[in-house]
Amino acid sequence: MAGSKLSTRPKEIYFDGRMHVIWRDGVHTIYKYWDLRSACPCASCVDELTGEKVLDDSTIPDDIHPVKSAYIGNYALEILWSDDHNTGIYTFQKLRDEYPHTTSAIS
Amino acid sequence: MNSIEQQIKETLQQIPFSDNGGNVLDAEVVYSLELSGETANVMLVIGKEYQSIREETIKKIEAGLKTVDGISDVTMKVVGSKSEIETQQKQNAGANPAPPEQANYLQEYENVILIASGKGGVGKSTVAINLALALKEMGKKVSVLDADVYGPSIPIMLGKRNEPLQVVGQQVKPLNQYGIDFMSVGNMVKEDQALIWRGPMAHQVIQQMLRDAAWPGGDYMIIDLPPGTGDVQLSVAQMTEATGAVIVCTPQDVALLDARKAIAMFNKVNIPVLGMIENMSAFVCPKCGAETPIFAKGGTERESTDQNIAYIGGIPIEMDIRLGSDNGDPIVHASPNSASAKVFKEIAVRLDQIVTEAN
Repeated sequence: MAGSKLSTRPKEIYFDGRMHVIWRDGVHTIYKYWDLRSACPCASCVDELTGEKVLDDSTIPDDIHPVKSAYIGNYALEILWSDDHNTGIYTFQKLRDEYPHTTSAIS
Repeated sequence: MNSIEQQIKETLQQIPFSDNGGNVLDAEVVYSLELSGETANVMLVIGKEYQSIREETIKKIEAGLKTVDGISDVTMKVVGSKSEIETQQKQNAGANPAPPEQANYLQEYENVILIASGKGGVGKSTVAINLALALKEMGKKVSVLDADVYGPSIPIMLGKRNEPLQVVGQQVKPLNQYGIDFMSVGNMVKEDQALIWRGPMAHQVIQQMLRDAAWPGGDYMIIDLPPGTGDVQLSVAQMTEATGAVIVCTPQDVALLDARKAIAMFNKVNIPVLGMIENMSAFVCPKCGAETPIFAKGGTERESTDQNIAYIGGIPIEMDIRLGSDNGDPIVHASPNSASAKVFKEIAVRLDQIVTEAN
């Protein structure tokens, strides 16, 4: 069915020093906090028109970590970071395909 | 026999700390004590200045607690200062936040179905309400949310014009008609009042109808979206975990073009498109029975095949369907045995099958 892809719906998300996403097709991807914060897609981190990154990575603390997070509908994750930044909406599509991650062999 | 809390307290009060006669409780040496079964997990704070009596105090506390009925084992953790514990707790909380919250509404419904179209005037609300009634006929518990905040038409179709919504406690109570619980902006503002709202305002109203309403829950929540691909669609997509969307379309090209945009939008927000329904498929003359394809019949079916989406069915142009909507008594309820009502029921059965498969 169109739009109903198991690979872009998470079954479980958890944090243990890194962010883990277990997708409905069984794949398990792992994200470093700093990398995710650096990849924030929001309008104050990325220029809306040019798509150029505005965020200065040197301003991200080394110990950056999520404080809180919430699902957005069927398609994204919203994260409140320890630097008080919370406007980034991380779509599942991009978490799966674009944002830097490693894939766990065991799932 | 004293309670275990009392016993612990009395025991700890007998253990001296510092030379002015204080005990470990008064001196706040015992930071926390948790019981898990017969094990007491104790956290102690002993500053460097008390290094000389540190070991002795720890031993006394351990031995003392073991004399308490109900405690057989003691685990100890000793730190140098209170702030050490607090920083540690903060770090633990920060490093491992809880899993993401389910910030979505309407969890009390088995299925949340969005009725959408790209173009306006294709009969979205008529389809939504008749589909809801047909699902109810099948024995399902159904609610309807009119999310068309700019042009709410569900109150008219259900014969509940100008009936205000009641607020019970902190929550708005949905209205009920023909066994369907429903809510609409049409029941919140006067009919001749224009709603000139920017996005954030529409977002807020949608949130109110989702969050602050006493929805009874059930098998199906049918959400009648406004036409297009705008703020309201995005709000609903963000605030609910929709089972899927149904695209209503007339067979003509302008409508199909807009329907394509709606499908693209749902793909973007990861909402499965469950199928397409062709409305105003063809006009069947009530006098001679001849079929006239006013908007070119079959366009929706072709489009759905192209897009690899299920085609759920086609609804003819019939005077009675329009009359039912305008009179506040939709055709599935008004004349359940009519040909058009049967078409809606077939569509409802098909949709229910698709939803069952999708789940």
